[in-house]
Amino acid sequence: MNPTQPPPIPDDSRPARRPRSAFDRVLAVIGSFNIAIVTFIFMIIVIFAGTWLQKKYGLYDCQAWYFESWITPRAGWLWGWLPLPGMATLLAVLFVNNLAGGVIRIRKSPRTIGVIIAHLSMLGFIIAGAVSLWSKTEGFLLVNEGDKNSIVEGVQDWVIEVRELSTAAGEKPQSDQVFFFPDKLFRDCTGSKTRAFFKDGWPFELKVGGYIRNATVVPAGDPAITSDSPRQGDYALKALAVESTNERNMAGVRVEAVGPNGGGTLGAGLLSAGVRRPLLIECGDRRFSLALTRERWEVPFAIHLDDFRAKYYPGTKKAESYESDIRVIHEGGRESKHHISMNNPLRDSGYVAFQTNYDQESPPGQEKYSVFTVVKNRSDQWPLYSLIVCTIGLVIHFLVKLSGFLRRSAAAVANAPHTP
Amino acid sequence: MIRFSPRHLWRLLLPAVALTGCRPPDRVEVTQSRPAFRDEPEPAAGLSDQQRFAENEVQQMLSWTTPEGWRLVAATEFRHVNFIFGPAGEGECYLSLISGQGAGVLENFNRWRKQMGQPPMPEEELVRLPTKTVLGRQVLTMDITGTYDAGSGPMMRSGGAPKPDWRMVGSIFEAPGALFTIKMTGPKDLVEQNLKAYDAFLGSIAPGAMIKGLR
Repeated sequence: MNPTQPPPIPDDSRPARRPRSAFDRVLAVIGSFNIAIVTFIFMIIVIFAGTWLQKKYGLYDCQAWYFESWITPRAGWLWGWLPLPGMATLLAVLFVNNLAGGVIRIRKSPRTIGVIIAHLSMLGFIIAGAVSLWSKTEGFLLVNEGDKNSIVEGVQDWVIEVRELSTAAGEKPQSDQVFFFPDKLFRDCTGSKTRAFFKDGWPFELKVGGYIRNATVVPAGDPAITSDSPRQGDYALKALAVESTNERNMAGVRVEAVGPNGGGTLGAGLLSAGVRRPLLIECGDRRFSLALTRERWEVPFAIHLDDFRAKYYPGTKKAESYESDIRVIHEGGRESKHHISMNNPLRDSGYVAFQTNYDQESPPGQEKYSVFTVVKNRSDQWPLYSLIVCTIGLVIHFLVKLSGFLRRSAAAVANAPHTP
Repeated sequence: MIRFSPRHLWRLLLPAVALTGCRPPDRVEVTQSRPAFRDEPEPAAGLSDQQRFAENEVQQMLSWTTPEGWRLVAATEFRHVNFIFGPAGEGECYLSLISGQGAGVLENFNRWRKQMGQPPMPEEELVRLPTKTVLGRQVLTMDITGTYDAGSGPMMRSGGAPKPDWRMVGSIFEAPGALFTIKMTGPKDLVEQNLKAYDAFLGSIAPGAMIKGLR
């Protein structure tokens, strides 16, 4: 061996031993670099497609098709014929691959501790994303100046709410719960396809069909109404062009309450997201209201808006910044004052309230309401923690590598032949 | 050198394809619920479709039954409840409510007569007009045949060339501070076929809460 040649750099990612058992062989496959590289290539393609096509299909659809799906639905296939794996699949594969190859199979030694920590932090990122995807709630809370509100309205999806009302004689309903089911359960019920929804205690099944993503209710004699249009009595749902900004789409659907065991129709009607007045279904003495609305929920505190202020660019109605002075009122009457501005959210009871909008219709200085985006995400801070762990792992790995390099350099200098 | 094997791709995609094949069953149990919010009132219930989807205040104030074969179409500025009928929708019937101080019953009848190419009638003729029942009251009704020339303008859906052999049936009555007009026009035979539907429509008109005082 040439004394001036540095010793070979150990390959930290090399398996500790040759695979022997079936488990080892499986682990070697699912933890292989090949799978990691293929996954990363697909990720690049999916991120590029999902970002590029936002211009055409809008943020909501692209996010759902490419970044929150297992595989892209038919509408999101590239060029109309090429399906892609969704980001959920890719991250699941990467998780398993990373766990097998970067944590289980990797040589365990002081040299590899930084790499193992970095790989663990990657798993943390993926878990945080999964928890956020499946458990995060996000909605708008609108508060008028001088008033309070604790009800948050969802941003994107619609639900059908079913609520039993007091009887005509004034007797209380059998349940004080408001039942609801999301539109993802009936989005495919277009045309003549229907799906029945039931609940113990309901004297009917609710058949839902004729779903239109963006619709308006018009008189049935409207020239745009065809024999295929969902209709009820004098009115029909008229399909409108789907907006790329999903919040502007107003869904419409036809519902029919039928008696149990194939009973007759108890009531039917059109539900439109643009119509706040509910449909009434009567079954004997019992009365139920049905409405297509945003999902709504109540946060465990009310926000009272004391004052809203916006600072505008000179001569424009474009806000440079805006902020709200609020009071948070908890159950029992406990109050605390807060100031919410664009980069200064309120954190309370596991919720984060960001200042995101305000009354832009009124003249500057006369704004009537403020809008907060309220988010509950238990993995809110996990990416930060994962990033810190990743940094620690990479710093350790860097120091290990640096010390090895310095040792080898010193040895090389010491062994180098002296020249006069 | 990275060796790519198609087997790796299948390992990636097969579980995903299997998962996306799932669709909700044809019967789904509703499992999500929430308690009513603090201070959340019961929603207004018992509204008719006409009230739920009302295009104007008149539709909110009234309820009616659309006769068989008639089709409700979009309201306009002066046609607050607006129907068409006939194979090509050539027949029309609409209800208008004119509030405030406007022309009276006689002036409106004479305006309609002019549209049908008829001379105005004197006031004493009014009492000889037949009546129909609307909102529980007897309402003067005019029935004339002639050449229909509705004139032009954005509110004249049936405008255009004069239409010979057309028939008009119209009813007008005054309420405190308002004038109701209901008018049906169309080819003579088509209107003849729809006279019973016209009567049924008039008989079905019922007040909403806002105009119960008109009785």
